[in-house]
Amino acid sequence: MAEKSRAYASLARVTSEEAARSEFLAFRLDEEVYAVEIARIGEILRVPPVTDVPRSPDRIMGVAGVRGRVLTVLDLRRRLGLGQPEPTRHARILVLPWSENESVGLYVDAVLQVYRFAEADIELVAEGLGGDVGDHVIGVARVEGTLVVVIRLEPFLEL
Amino acid sequence: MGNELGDKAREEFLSEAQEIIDRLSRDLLLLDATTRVGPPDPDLINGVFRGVHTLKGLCGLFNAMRLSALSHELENTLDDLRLGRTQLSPDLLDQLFRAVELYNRLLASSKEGAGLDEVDEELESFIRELRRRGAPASVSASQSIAYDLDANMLAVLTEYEEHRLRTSIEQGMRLYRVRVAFQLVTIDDQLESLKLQIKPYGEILTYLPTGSGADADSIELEILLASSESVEVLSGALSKLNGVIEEMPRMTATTGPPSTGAPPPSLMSDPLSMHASVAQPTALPARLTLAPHPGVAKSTKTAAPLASKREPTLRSVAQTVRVDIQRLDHLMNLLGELAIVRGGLERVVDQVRAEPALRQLTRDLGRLHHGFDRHLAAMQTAILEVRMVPLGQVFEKLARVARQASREVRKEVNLVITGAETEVDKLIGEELSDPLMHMIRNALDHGIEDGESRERVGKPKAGTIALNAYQKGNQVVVEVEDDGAGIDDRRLVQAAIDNGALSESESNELSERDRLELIFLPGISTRAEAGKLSGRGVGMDVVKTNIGRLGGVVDVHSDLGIGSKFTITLPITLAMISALMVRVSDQTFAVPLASVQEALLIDFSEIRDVEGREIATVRGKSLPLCRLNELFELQRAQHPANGSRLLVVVASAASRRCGFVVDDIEGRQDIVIKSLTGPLRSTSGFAGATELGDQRVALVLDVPMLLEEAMSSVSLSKRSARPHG
Repeated sequence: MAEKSRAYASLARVTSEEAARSEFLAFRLDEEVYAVEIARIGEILRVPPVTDVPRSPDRIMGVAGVRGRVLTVLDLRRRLGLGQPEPTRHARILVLPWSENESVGLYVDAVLQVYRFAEADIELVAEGLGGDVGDHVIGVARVEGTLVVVIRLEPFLEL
Repeated sequence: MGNELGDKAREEFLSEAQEIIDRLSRDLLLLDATTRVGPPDPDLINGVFRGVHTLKGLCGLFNAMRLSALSHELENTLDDLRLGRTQLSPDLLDQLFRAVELYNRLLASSKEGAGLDEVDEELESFIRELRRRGAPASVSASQSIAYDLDANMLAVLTEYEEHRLRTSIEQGMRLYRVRVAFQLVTIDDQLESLKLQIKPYGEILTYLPTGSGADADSIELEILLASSESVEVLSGALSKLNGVIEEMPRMTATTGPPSTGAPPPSLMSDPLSMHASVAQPTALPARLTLAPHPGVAKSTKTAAPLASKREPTLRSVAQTVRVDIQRLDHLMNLLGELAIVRGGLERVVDQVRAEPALRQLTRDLGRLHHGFDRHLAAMQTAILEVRMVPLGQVFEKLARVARQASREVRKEVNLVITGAETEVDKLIGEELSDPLMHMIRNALDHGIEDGESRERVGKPKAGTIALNAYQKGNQVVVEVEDDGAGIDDRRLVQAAIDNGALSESESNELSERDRLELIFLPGISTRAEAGKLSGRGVGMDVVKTNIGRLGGVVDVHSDLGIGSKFTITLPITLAMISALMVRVSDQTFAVPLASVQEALLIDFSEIRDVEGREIATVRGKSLPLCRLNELFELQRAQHPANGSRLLVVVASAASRRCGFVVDDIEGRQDIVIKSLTGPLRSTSGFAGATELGDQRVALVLDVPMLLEEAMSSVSLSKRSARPHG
């Protein structure tokens, strides 16, 4: 009995460590490296033809048809003050479901790799970058000398 | 409520309750209509009673206390009614209609799950009123003519059947006994057809097995029939039955019991007596004397419809499944995906076709592709059909509104409905009910004159509002027609001038039709003061806009003194619409064909500049132009293809009309509109987007919105503050 409960205890410890470490997908926007939590990503697509929507906010690239649905595609490069190079063959759309029926697409110049960060690895913005960043930035992580900015998309989804 | 039963069960409960309430409303309307011309149809009253009874059970099951309480009181009232303890007065009908409104409101709040524990004032007072009504009128009986009925038969009559028996005799009907042998195997069908045959002649009061003269496979029934016809007529009508018809002896005419005394029927051994309601054998004297009231002894000309007796209660009759409309939307989307696959397949077929070495393969592939195509089209039709509902569902609600409204304004009106079976997409049906309601209220308030005025000009005292629906090609037409005073277009013009919408000089140029169209302008009323019903700030302009949103159009015709007619033309289905595909700069846009009047080439010489706005003259009339590329801030097309002329698509909605300048017209196409999501929801000017065959997406113009924007002095894009970002 005692053995068994010890086993359970160690199992619990492993799980909690697992939970604390989340996976993030890193991608490139212009020359910068950003990341979003992998759990948030529905799928990754090659860039389909994107139709420009007149009079839409500038963070919106347009709409694309994805298997019978019309997907709104965000392009955050201008909003983040980055250059906007023409899409290469590495360009992708990350599809992020954000409600039961709706997804939003995020244009990225290239998908890089998956990182596993523990909570402690992500420096909160205030310490890392100073106060002057948008509320879309969760924090930054340093990996092999590169600065990875972990972001969330909610602020961009507001009307 | 009923959380342990789960959301799904709760949803089912709500929709089933809604169905019952809708049916209730329908029956009440019928009852209202029939009681105006004759005695209330007992069948209908019974139907209403059963509906409420079922609802009560259902509500109890789901712990919907307020609905349950209402049903309980109503059931009592209706029971009194069907047993003849109370009479059906217009007052009582009003109360029953109010109950329907109350049901609908309570059900709606149940749906939201709000305020379930609070005391509902309206409900409480309604229930009090119902109880106050209580005291039943006594059934009068005198002794002039009496029937000698077999005690055994009387003993098994339910209270309801006994009431019908009394009523029939009071109405001076004769009683007949029909003995018919039925085959056990087919007895249900035979009984049904018997009922149908008898219906024109009288009412079946009850039937009992005689227990005699039957072999193992058949059963003889004794049917008690009330009719005002003679025995010869009935024999003729029922000649096919091989039954024996005899008139029940009257006590004053003959004495003594009838010669064919039926043996005591046992309730338990009689499969047909298993009535849904409790059939308690009432203790009655061996010989009951039933007699008509002298005052009502005259025979009724209309044969009373028979009371349907047995309802199948265990097996559900309807072979239907309720489906959330969103699931159908999902199916539609999947179908869209398939259509795209088909497009891709087509391109592959074309490529393979170019290879001479693959000729055989090409043929096979072509055949498969063709088959796929055909089935896909069939599937699309099938799914669209599933979404279709008869307009009757909407019309029933309207009939209730019309009834109530006619009482409010104290005008007698008959609502005549035709084409209730015409089908439209569920969503269109829903969206149509409000505009139609406004139109009917308008007709009642402004159109139909009061009874006296009508009689002065030789019209029947009661006005008529006709609601007609029919299919016309790919569209559905709904007409709202009244035989009222018609629309005075001079007053419309005056109102428009007063309103500043029109100048005196402009008003002189209007055709008769244009003048009537003014009714669709916002803020136009020919009435100095708002009417009791309409004139509450929602006008015909809103009606027109709402219908425009569905891809429909409204037209108006009116003859002064004779009446008005509004004609709504709608696409049958929302999911798929016809659109004109146009190109502006390098982008393709879809313009819903319903709002396109025509496409024109307009010479530059026909265009003048008025206060910074381009106005073209087309066939002697002014047409404001709007350059879509400027509205959308797109690059001007590199090579204007049309030389010295502009290609203009003339669009209209809610009496606004404008020519949109485009670079090219790509053709007509049936499209499926998908709404824009996420941060694009607030982008004005687009009704949605649609996928073209080649993976590209085209935006669908929101024509009413763009027209409004193009016609207003300040463009919306400038007015609406852009979201940062």
